[in-house]
Amino acid sequence: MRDGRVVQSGPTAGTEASALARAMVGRDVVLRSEHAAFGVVDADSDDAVPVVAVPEAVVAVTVVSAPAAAAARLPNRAEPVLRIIGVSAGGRDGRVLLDGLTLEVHPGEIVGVAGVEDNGQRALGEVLSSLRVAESGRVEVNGREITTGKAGAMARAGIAVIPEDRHDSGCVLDFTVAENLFIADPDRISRRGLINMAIMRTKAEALIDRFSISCTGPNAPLWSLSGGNQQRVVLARELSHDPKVLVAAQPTRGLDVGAIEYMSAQLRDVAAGGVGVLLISTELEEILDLSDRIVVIANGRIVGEMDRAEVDVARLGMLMGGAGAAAGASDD
Amino acid sequence: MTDVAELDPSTSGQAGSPTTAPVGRRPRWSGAAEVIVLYAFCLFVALALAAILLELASDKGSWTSVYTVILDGAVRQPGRWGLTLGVSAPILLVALGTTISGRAGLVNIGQEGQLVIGAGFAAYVGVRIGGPGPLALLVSLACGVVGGAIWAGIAGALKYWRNVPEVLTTLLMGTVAANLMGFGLRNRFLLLAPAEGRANRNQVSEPFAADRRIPRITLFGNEFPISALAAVALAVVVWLVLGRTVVGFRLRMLGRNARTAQRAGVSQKRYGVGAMLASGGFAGLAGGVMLTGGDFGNYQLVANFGAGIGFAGLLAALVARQRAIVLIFVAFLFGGLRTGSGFLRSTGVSARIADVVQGMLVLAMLLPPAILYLRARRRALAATSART
Repeated sequence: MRDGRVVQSGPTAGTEASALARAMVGRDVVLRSEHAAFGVVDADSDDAVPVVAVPEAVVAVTVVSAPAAAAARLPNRAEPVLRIIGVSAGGRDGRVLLDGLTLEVHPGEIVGVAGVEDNGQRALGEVLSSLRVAESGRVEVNGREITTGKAGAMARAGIAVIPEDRHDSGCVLDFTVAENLFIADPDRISRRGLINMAIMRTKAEALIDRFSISCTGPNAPLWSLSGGNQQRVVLARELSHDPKVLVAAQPTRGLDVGAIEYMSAQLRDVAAGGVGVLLISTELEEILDLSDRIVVIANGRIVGEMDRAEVDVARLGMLMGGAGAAAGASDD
Repeated sequence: MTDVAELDPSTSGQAGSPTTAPVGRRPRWSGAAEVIVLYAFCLFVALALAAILLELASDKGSWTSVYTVILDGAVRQPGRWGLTLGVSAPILLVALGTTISGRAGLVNIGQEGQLVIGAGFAAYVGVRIGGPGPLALLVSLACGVVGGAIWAGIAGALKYWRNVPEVLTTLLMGTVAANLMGFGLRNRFLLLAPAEGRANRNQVSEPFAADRRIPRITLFGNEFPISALAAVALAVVVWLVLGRTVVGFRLRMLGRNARTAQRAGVSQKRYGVGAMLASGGFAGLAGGVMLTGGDFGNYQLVANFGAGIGFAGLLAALVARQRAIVLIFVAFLFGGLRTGSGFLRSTGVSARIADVVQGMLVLAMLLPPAILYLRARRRALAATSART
């Protein structure tokens, strides 16, 4: 099913995974989409990225010296900014959600996590949002281990998150726009524990301007905004914290076409600025459009990986469908 | 999945067409007027019902005279508003604590028990320690805070470490507190006063010495303890802390969306238990203030000491919808109802009738907040479902 229409149907037994994938995407996938046309991928400055010794500083340097996201083409030379090593987690009902998931994101690249829904994407996002404790394994940002499940630890370490469900963990609907812009870091609008309303207002207005959030003002309650604008508030907050990693989980779900375009452009910009972007999406189209590197998640583990340049949609579909068919079928 | 998404706009458009209107852009005054009308209507209905009841049940004067008597007893007669202030102070304190825990998303309904335990702690320490009077008073009030905080803290700890709902634990701990108090008042080594100076089987604690009581001041012929002023000052402090500090900001965040708060660095355990401790602490302080303030008995613990002040505070917090400044007035209103209906009783109307009148008025003030809350909730839900 795609865009509300059944585009192809057939008995489960007689369906090939590759054909299924093609049907899901809706076209014979053009290898270099708009993404390539933007010229982001074709960076040829191999020498621009030094070997990272003090990662934090270098990310900043990369921004200045190699805005063309050279690192995207050179994932193996730069030190990964985010490293997830063998993370496992289970649900309350004993179901395995993450099963030794290992993943690396380098500065300046967009890593797309493709997969059929309900194969651990949500749990992955939750671990990176400090909402879930990893039973084993570790999460490192710039080589420093971050305690999982500890309130605010991931955010403090520089992991920005656009959550799958922003009402669940991305914003506070009853708060004002301004308050929502500073929930992760109220220290920026306060001195010695006291919030400075004037500073909060000015800073919020600046962000509302920069991200063209359409609202009646910083004091408008967040629930009075449209979904796209709520998403912009989340984006504005997460990006204004100078993140090292941006986790975007289903960032365009439920948004209209214009908002989707805006979000895509933002993600590319962020990556071009040297931030490692982890794009978790069940929409293959989105992944193919944005990612530099694609990994496939199935049953809570990474089952395959390929570069954007050498994507084989048939294989991608096989990995997604083959390993995840059981879980996916029950879900739809 | 897709089908649901397609159905959604039609259903929400049908169910709540006002939701499509930009509610946030409405002028403020119309909302305020609505609230006032709502309150006026509810109060009117309650007064009318109470009047009918009074006409039917009472042979002491008509319903107009009854309402006059309530007003007289609350504020109009000489010295009465001072008394009302003294009664309002602990109500305000309890309600402030309830506001703090409520803002953190916790439902603490065991204020009565926390208050009693606080009073017990204060009484135990206050008559035993030496030292200058004012210092002993402060120490015993502090012990009241600690006692209430411990009592609420147990419920908080159970919630965050054992997942026991605080609604249950706070309420049940209230029963335990009442029984503990009864036990303390039967035992000399705990709270019971020495045999001399009390009637033989009277279970009361030793009264506070004159220099260990909260000073009372007289203003325009009305006498009240300075704790009333302190409570108002505390209300301003709570308002500032909740609205203007990072701690208050995080606390409110926890109450509104615990998962967002968790990601943003608000530890549920730390802030949740903290809010519970503060809530209990305020109730305990209220107990101490009742004990040493002089408007509730003779500066000593008696059986059933709480006298429903804890519940009155809880109701006041509900009526004020967790706004500390509004609470000052609501608490005074509740205090007035109490002193007014007490006065009514002294004029010969049966205590039951007076209670019913009081209960109806309280109910009238509780209904509008409930209606407003439900409507806000529905509006937010509608806005959410229409826009995702």
